[in-house]
Amino acid sequence: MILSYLLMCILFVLLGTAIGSLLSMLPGLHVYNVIGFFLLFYFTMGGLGMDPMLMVLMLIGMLVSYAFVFTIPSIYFSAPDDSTMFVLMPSQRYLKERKGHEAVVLIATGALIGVMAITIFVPIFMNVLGVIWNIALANMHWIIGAVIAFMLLSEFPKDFGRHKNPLHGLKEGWKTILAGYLTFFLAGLLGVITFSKTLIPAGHAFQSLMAPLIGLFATSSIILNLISKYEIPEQNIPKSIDAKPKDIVHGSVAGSIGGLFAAFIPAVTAGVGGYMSSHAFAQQGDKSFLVSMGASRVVYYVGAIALFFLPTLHLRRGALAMGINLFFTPETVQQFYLVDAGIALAGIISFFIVIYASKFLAKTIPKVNPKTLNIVVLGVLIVLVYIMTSWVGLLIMSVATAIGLVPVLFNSRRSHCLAVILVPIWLNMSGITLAPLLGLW
Amino acid sequence: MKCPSCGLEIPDDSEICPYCTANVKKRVRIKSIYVLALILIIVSPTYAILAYTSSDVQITPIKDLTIDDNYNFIHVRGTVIKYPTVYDSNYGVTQLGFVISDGTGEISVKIYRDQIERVVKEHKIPGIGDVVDVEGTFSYGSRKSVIVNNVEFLHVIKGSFEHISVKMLNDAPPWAFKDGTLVSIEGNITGVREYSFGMISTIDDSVDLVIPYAYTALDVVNIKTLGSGVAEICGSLKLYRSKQPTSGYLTVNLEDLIENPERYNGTNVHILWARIISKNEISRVIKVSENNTNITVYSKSGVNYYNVGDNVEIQGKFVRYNGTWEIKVTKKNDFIAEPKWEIIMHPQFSIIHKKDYREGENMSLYSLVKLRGIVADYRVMNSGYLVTLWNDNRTYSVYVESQKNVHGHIDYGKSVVVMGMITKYKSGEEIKVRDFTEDYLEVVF
Amino acid sequence: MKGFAHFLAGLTTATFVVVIANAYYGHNLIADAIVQNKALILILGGIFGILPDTIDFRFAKYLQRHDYEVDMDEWDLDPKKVVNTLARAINQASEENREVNVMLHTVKISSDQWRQYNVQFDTENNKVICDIGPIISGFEKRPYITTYLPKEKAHAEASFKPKLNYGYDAVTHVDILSGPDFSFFPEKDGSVRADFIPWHRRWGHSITMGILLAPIGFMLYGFTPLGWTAFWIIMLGYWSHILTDHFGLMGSNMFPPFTTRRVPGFKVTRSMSPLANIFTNYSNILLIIFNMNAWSKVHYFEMPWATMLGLSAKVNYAEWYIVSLLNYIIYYILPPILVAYFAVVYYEKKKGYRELTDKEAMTKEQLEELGGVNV
Repeated sequence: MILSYLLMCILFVLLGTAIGSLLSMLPGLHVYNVIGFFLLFYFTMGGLGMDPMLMVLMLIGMLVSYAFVFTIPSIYFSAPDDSTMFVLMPSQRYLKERKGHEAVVLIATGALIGVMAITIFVPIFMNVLGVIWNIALANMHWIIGAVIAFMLLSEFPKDFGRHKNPLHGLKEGWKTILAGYLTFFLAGLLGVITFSKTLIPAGHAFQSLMAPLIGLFATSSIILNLISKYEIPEQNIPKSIDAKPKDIVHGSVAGSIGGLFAAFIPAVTAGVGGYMSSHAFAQQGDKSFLVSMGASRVVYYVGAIALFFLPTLHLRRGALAMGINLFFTPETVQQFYLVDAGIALAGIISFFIVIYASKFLAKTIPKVNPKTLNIVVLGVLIVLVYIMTSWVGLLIMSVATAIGLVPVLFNSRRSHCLAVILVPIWLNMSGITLAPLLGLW
Repeated sequence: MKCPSCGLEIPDDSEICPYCTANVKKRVRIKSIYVLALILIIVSPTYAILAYTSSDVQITPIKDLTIDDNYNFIHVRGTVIKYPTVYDSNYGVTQLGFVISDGTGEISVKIYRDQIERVVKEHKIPGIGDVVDVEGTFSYGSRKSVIVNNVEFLHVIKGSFEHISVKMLNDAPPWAFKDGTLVSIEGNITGVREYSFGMISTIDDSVDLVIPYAYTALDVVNIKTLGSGVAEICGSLKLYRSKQPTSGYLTVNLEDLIENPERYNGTNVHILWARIISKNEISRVIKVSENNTNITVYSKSGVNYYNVGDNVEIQGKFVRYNGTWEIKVTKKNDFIAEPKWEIIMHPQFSIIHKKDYREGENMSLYSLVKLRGIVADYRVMNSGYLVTLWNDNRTYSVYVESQKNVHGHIDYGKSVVVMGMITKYKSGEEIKVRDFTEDYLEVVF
Repeated sequence: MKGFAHFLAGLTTATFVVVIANAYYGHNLIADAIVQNKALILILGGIFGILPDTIDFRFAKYLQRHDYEVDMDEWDLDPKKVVNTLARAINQASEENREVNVMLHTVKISSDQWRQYNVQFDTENNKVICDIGPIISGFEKRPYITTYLPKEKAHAEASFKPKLNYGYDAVTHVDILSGPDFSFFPEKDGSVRADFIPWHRRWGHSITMGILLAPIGFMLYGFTPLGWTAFWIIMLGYWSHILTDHFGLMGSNMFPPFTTRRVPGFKVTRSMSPLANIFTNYSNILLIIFNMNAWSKVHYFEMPWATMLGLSAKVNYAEWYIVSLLNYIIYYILPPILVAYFAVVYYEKKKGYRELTDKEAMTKEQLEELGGVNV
């Protein structure tokens, strides 16, 4: 390899990190949508005559920066409103207690350790992962089935034990559980429909999940923000954070393993993987939770790419790996080294971008009217969905938004919305076809 | 003092902030997390240096590749022994493959989808005999294959082509060349037939040229261009035998046979190469000669097919019949065959002299003509037509290779325009409307 | 144990059942049904492994009747109400010779703030003591230190007559989500036994229930080999929950309706300790991987011991399996667990952590499960 090529690689990683960091500041915008945009552009321009590896490195830079920078909108642009929530998410509690920056630092620390896990530990356990993958491959259908069963069975009743009679108690306790199951059922149905019959233009078919996902997660929470009353208090920028090293280690180990599980098993996403590993590691406390949240997101998104380039495995998992595979197939050890170098580089830069962006936002955010911000973001999302998937996509998005509002309004877990991916893939792997029953073929 | 977490004023001796419940005393400094980031600052350059210094993959002998190498990145080098094949669907060509051998074993090289475009663009499609150096992912299945995911890792080293003439090749005995010899030849395409594996064209009515389907499917060889004039065509030689010699026959020299007839009486003999000097279709005999030694050959199934001047290979029984020695071709394994050197094309050719369709004037052999006339007679052949045209008080015989080259409904008395090439047919000449070229026959009214 | 550990234990049990059933029926029958025909039979193990807690926390909880309920709110905090109700209930149980149940409700202030109060039974002086604590924050239970009430408003005591038999830690915190309830049972000797969260680990956590639920396997697959396998998976998966719970302190009521009391646990682990959960999950996941390998046609790892002894899966499956499993446990499962365990023990000794007493741990075990987060 010549030096100028290596420098070009570094340059493209930096470029990707810059683009990714800027775009990830927009709440509700997922990096996969942006990457889809870039891929579309790349293909229509016929590859731009550039080495595909450079394009790959740029996309990886974007992905890594997203996995870090998503923290900013998720902390600063979410509504800590007492009246609509049953329990506050730790990040919302931190914002309410004027500690938004501290929450960002905790998540970014988790993410940083996640990047280390990917670049240092995953290569060490390369052969083990290969063997486990071979063994698990034939059993994937029941593993995913078990994940679904666990998600459904672990939804717990949220009542305060004030029931007049058993029937009343059952009604109170099962209200949230049934709302969760309803969400799961509706999202699963939406997923089956989306996977078996896509209404959006054929040229944009690889973005068919965009409208449902934005509807389920982004627009529904924006609508919640719009209807709830809240004010963001002035934020403090601390020099130290209130956590013990034990919390950070516990959280990052749990998060990394949950993220790796999600990166490894098809259809399982960071939310589900992190949820399961927080159970597996008997996690307690907000600090450890925030750290594990950062770690699991990074390991899930970035780890999928690292596994894709990992010699002996070449696991194609996640939208970016599939997108890259459209024009590039990883094979050499050299490419793997380059990718890991890029991940580590993008990781450090994104970490500092997050810290400094958060410092800036902590000062400015109380001055911004959150409603205006939310309306602007909603507008951006609607335009984006319209461009990518035409007005049909907007219809799908509105359906998805309605489903996404169910868990928000009934206080059940929002991760049930991920049934939109889990259910169709699981059905497909188990050889169960529901689509003909719905008259879709 | 101020709470280090939420920044509100709290009593000086507080251990826990009363407003945000943060622990005031036991805390982790953010700068110590920055130190943690230093680990990544070491990791990233380490990988970059590893990438920078990682050496090329060594060439592996094909026989050493086993199931353990499955999905590994390998480097092999060998000579192409089978012409490229493609798999195409409604979506275009989706797979390109060819087989290489390095003397220790064979491996098929496979290229998929968008990489195929790059192979075409970068002129990296090989022909038989080219040396190919390739790095890719090894796949161990019923046969070994290497998948080229990046065309940069495919290098084709073209061999040098020996120039020969059509006549030389026609007269060349089986031992004159080795299979796979790279040659270039000059001539006109006088006919094109389509088969599942590609096309077989004839050069100057005598030498067969195999154009693998891969070349036409990928449009690296365009028959229209190839048929538009005298072309210099590159390819590799292959001896085509319609019948394969079988065991139990003694390969002999004709001279030896005639000199010691008694010794060979009743034996099954195999004559490699002899020229037909005469034939008698009624008594079903031909006379063949080798180095001025002649012998009569009787064939039970008739000799209509053979022409005087052809070179044949014979397997038969050497016997005395009516006082003369002859070879009888009667049994199942006996045959009279015409082994011919054919050329398997490489994706390289050039038009030396481009010809245009001319009307009427020059009717010399292998010239392109445009002729108007009236259909005096026509016959439907296997796939085309044999048309007799009436023009200017003389008749022309026109052979249309494929019905799709006839534009309009052909019938007696119709006026037609023919674009075609003057070719030899038996002793005479005919105008041939070659398939896949720009030749056609159009019914005017 | 957390719900996830129970779920995994159920799955692991199911994989063992499949390995045995597969060897019993031969021809790779069950494994083919799973791998080729995509049967989801193994999930039953996980589902029934987590089911006992589901039954308790989703159904049994609501069937409990309360004789008394203590429901305070932030503006009306009265520790006297708590102690008086509890003392009255204890007396009533003894006088009327019946079970009396008291529910202590939590005091919710906002979506993440709760008022904490502690209840303490002083069995030596026959007193019940209540202290109103601070406001705490969310699941972390971080106290807002300025929210303590003055001592005279926060503290109350009341006496009761009968002797109280109380097997848990003296202090019970009532803080988040739904509060605990106490049942007071009159004993034959005239004393009163206090049971904490009486509806938990009763009929739901029993061997009997496992046997009753097992025929679901036949309902799903009929009396086929798969049906029998499902039968055993459900029964053993259910029992795996009771067994893992039994390693803790509280134990379960094993054979209702023949027995009514909980059989005390083995007291091996503290179920709420993260380490116990992590070790259980780690060994379960590794065992699942081993079993998947054992029933797959290609064996991705043959254990060196089995190879050394010349055992092969084709000739003598049982011997091969047992030797390989031992080999696998000693090579891969035990070392990380031991290393982690000793590291933690060393670390805690250095930092001077005090181990909880049995009574404290038992209460914690109960309360942790009450939070609902684990189920």
